Amino acid sequence: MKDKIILLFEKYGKLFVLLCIAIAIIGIIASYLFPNESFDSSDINIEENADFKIPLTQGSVVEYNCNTGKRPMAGIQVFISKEGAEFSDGKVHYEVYNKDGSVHLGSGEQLLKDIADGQFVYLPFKGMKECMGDIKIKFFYTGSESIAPALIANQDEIEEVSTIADGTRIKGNIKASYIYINETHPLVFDLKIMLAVFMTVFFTLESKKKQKANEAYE
Amino acid sequence: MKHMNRKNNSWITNGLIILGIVLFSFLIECFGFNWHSVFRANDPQVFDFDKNKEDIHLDTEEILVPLTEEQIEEIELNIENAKLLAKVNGEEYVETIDPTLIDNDGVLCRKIYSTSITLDISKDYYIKKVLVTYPSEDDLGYEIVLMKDGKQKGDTFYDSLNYRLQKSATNINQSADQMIVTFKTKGEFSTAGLMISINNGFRINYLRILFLIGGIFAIAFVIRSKQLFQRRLELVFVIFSLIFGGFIILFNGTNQLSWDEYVHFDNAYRASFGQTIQYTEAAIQMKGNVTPSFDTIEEREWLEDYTQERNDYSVADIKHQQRFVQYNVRAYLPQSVMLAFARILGLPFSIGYMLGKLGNLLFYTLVMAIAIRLSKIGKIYIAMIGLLPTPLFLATAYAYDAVVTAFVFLGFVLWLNEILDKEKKMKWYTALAIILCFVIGTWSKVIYIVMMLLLCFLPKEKFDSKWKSALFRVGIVVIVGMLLITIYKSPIEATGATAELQKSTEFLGDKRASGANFEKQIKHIFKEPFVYTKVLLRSLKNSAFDYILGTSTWLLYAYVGRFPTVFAVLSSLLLVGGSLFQTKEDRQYKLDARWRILLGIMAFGMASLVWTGLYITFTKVGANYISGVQGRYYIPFLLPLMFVFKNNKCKLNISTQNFYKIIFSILIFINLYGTYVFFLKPHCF
Repeated sequence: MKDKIILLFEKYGKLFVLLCIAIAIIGIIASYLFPNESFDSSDINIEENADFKIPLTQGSVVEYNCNTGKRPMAGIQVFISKEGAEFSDGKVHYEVYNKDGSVHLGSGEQLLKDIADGQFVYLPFKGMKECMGDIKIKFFYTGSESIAPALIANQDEIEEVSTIADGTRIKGNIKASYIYINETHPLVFDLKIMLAVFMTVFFTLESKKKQKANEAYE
Repeated sequence: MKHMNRKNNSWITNGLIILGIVLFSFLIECFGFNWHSVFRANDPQVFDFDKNKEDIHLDTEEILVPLTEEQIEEIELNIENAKLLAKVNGEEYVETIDPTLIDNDGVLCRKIYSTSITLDISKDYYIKKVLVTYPSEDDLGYEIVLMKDGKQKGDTFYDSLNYRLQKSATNINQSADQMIVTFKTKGEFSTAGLMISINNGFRINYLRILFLIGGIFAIAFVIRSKQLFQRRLELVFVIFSLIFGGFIILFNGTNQLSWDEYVHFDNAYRASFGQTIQYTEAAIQMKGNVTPSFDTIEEREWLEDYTQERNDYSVADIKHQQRFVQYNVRAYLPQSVMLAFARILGLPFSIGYMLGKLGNLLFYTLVMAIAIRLSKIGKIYIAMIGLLPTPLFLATAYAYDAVVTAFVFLGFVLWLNEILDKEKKMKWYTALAIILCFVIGTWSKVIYIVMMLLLCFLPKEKFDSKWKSALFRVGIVVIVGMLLITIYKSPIEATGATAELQKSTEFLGDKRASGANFEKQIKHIFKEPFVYTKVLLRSLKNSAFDYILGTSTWLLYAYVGRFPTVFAVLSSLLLVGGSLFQTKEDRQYKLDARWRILLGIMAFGMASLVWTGLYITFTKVGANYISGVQGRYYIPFLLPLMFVFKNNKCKLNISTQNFYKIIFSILIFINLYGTYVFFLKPHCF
């Protein structure tokens, strides 16, 4: 049994090593061509500190100014209170602008019937222009229901962040986490090591001529 | 026919011996450990402080307890880390003040309350156990003083009560007619809910019986075995590794007594799930290192119930992780597989916790046994190192050390076999096996990958041609380099993280160490190379005996305790005697002097790297000492060091069988002493 396995190893050694080298190379290329995406959540303001609600009544707008840092933001996570009401077509809209509001980067909406009351909701910026640096996010509500939802805020003052409700700067800010997307290549490191290992092992393969000569000698 | 009869007789004899061992162990348990319960039986006495308030005499005083240097260092370190965290988060650091800390004439003290309660037992009572139940909101310590005829009898007993468990048991095993219990608390003590009971109950301790059976079996095995030690040493290793390793796992239970075990448990626990991790309350407490520990068999049972009550997956905390297991936590997979297995079977948390450790032990035992089996020389070296208390203990705890040691040993053995077979060309599958052993083995402790450079010294005759030999060496250096870089910077592709902190090397350095900084320390070394060399050589010299032959490397059970120094004589005897003296069979192969010199240089280089690594990551910048190095870090390269002393001049004229039996007898003695004194008695009596 042991001899048979060794014989197989010796017969198909070159094929196996070359196959592993090929798999490693293809794997590395594929990993860079089709990277994985993972969410990176950065908690900006989520601690409890005399929390209060900012109602999003029809026609009112809540502005949130922030700085995304050196990476483009992929979305924001905020607490939305439904005030115990059931919504049918009510939506929270959000529009993203540059710092002074002159360039519209994109907009999105969240149907309130799809979320739980008080949920920390992820509002994606998918399909928008790059949201990086200083940005302004405007929240407002539309719907047939008379009860208005609210955004949860606290008293924390955060550097480079301000919240404005209907034109008035409030004391404190909306509780929020910023969502970024990382491109990851989880197996690339392993594939690189695999490539290096099999390339190294390749140099221990005997040429067929020598193999035959050795066999004859043995 | 004769052979058949002999075989049957042997089975019958062995069966009778095992039956005898079991019966003997049971009798010792009943009439040895329970002697006083059988012949001085007493009914339990309960002191319920809610019912008998008027009879209680309380004596309370405030005392100041000076903090130890370690406690002061811990406080300073916490402040430093809080400042660092504030800096990373871009916040202003606000100092919090602990009101219980008091400066008493320049000495930092903690204020505590000491409350003494005197209990009259009224007759001479043999107290086996004292059980304390108290609904405390904080951990508290207590002392028990036994009195007889108004005078203190024996030493004071010290124990503590964990507020999560709210009860505690203390082993006494002495008689008294009065008992004074003194509670040490952070706040003022109230007797509401306090209940103290004493008993002398008969109890069969199944763990003690197992120890007796295993211990006597091990001795009988050495006496009765005829050929196994010489012919199948790996099998002997498996038997003893599982017996003594199993003891440690069983007796240690859910106690977290190894180095950073809570961190390692968390890694193993996370890897036992896919992308969604379910943290039960029991697991959260384990990874937070706040699960109560036990020191009696009663506390062990309470704790098993406590963890099981908190092991409800329907209210588990959900966390997410990436799909692939990161390279640096793969060494935990043997532990993770068993944790997942226990979860699937719905086993209690405490059993699952022990099974995780068993996964580590089984894997270690298997790989070490393969190394023993495959090695052409020095089989006994591997068995010896593998069964010494510290390496074995590391295989029975949540840790990656055992996987590192086992794979590095296997890789080294395969390399050594190639050296000994000078004429034979190296096969590709052997080269692959050696490289994989080193790569997989050192994923979690990358520094040891340097040992793989031994492959660069293979003679060129091992290869088809000179250029193939040269390219192979280049390949080895590239692999070693690729892995070494991960010490400085984890590959982003591998970890899947791009957090600012990971990108920034400014904050790199161990956060458990005060004043450590990776980049600044490297700059310091380059600025003062001679000063650092002096520090390094001094550290190597001062620690040489202890770390090569002494208790720190071989006879230390982490936070459980260290063997008495006299045991270092035994370990030295084993290691030096085992390396120097060779029986006839062991003298078959000769290791040339040049290889022994190479191994010596490699061991010295590895030791220097370990010390330098910790100087960079764990020591205050610019310090003239090196912190954080532990003897266990030497284990992976001490096997090669043993071969430095291998020679065919010191001949031993006894049979290999008997030589190995002597070595194993010493190992059995050390392990029986260790498992009894450090695990069974202090935790499971």
